[in-house]
Amino acid sequence: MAAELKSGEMVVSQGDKVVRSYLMNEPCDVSVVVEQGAQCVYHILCGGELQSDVKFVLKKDSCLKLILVDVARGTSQVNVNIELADSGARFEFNGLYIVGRGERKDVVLDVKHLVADCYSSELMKGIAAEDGVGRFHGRIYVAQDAQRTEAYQQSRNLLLNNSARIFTEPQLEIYADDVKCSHGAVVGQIEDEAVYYMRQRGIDEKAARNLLTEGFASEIVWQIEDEQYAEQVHDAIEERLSEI
Amino acid sequence: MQKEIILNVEDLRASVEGKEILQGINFKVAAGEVHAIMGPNGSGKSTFASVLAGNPKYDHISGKAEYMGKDILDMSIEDRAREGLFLGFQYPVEIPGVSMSNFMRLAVNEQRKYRGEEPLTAAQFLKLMRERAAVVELDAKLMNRAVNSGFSGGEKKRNEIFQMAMLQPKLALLDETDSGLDIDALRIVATGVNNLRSEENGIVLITHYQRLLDYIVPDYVHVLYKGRIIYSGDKELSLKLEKEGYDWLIKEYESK
Repeated sequence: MAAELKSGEMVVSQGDKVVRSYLMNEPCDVSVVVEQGAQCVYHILCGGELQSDVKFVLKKDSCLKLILVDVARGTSQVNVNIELADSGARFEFNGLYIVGRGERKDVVLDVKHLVADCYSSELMKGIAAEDGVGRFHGRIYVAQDAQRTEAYQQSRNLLLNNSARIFTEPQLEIYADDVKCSHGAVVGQIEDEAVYYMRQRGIDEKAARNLLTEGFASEIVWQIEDEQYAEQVHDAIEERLSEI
Repeated sequence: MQKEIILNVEDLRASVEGKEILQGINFKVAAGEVHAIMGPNGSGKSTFASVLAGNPKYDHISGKAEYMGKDILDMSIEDRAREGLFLGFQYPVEIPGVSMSNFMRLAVNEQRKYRGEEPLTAAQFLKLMRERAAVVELDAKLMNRAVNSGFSGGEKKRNEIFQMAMLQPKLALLDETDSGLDIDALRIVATGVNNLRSEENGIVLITHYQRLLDYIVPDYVHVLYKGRIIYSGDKELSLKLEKEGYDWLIKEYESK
């Protein structure tokens, strides 16, 4: 079962392999140290109006996979801070938000490559409906000594109508010279061709649009490594999409 | 006995972005018939199929298209499909994030609902899906993948025939299902189409190449040119076209 995420400090011990699933139902300030060689998966599902800070420090050869899903009603901001503090650390991020009428969602992701030979990859997805406003600010910082860094960022977004807004702000600050970094951002709408294709098979337009929107979100759900929790997240997404 | 008329098109005119593409098509399909529509690029073959399927990009100008005695041009895209009209796409669309099995289950059950039938259970659906995928030698693993995403060209085309086999349409319009296929894939696609061929339904093959017609022998072959059917014949016509091209027909038509 997923636990409530509370403010405080956590440690993933050296060499541990853990999968942790959380519900973030209130504002919190969380700090996690991932010790040497540890491999962990953190799932965080946001549950309401909040502003939270989540910080991870990754030690040597550790690995963190973070999945952040904010599909709750209301306005919220989640700040995620990642420090790749020793060589061989790996960070993978999958994020999703859905923002609807009268709401605003902010995800601020700050990934710092402080030393050489670390890896990070981020995929952030946003869905905005009605007059909802979504914003993803993704910074990748590569320190001068952080040679042979690999850092990739993707921001993919879906506007469900013309009054919705999404701001996607990549920010790459690179001081090392031997790096592989890339970023990309797409803001699009549901493809008419896909809707037509589905309707030609007998699916009505509304169902086709819903399935396509769900499909867009499901890529993130597929990353979840806790089956029961994945179902819970899937249900939350489905419920939210049925309202907007 | 008179054969049931599935499709009856009379003087159909349609345009895209104000340009008239179909300039008066007359075309009839009766139950049990296979028709091939050939013709040079840009003659309106794909447009014809798209207009019948209800692609919103095209505007109907005049003329009629009756399907099973009903005016289909007034029906929604999905109702045409639910009435048993199937379009095999020339360029099947990729749908990221939606698995083949979810997509097909929804499609099959929506069509069943329309006919007043109970939805298939998960087990019934799986069984049907496996059977039909085997007909076109489509790897069952593809059913867990997103629709057409990362499918090879041949897999996409076989997937169209698989969907046709799942939905068992009354009228199948196959828009260049054969283009880009190697000979093995072509044989597989043809086997799938021949399996569906029956005394109750109709098939319209839109194709550039005679070679498909070696595998699926049509009852009628039509040549579409400048938005009109300018010539109709039988299987022999496609062989002649293969050898001599369209020029002789076009000359004959333009001199009239």
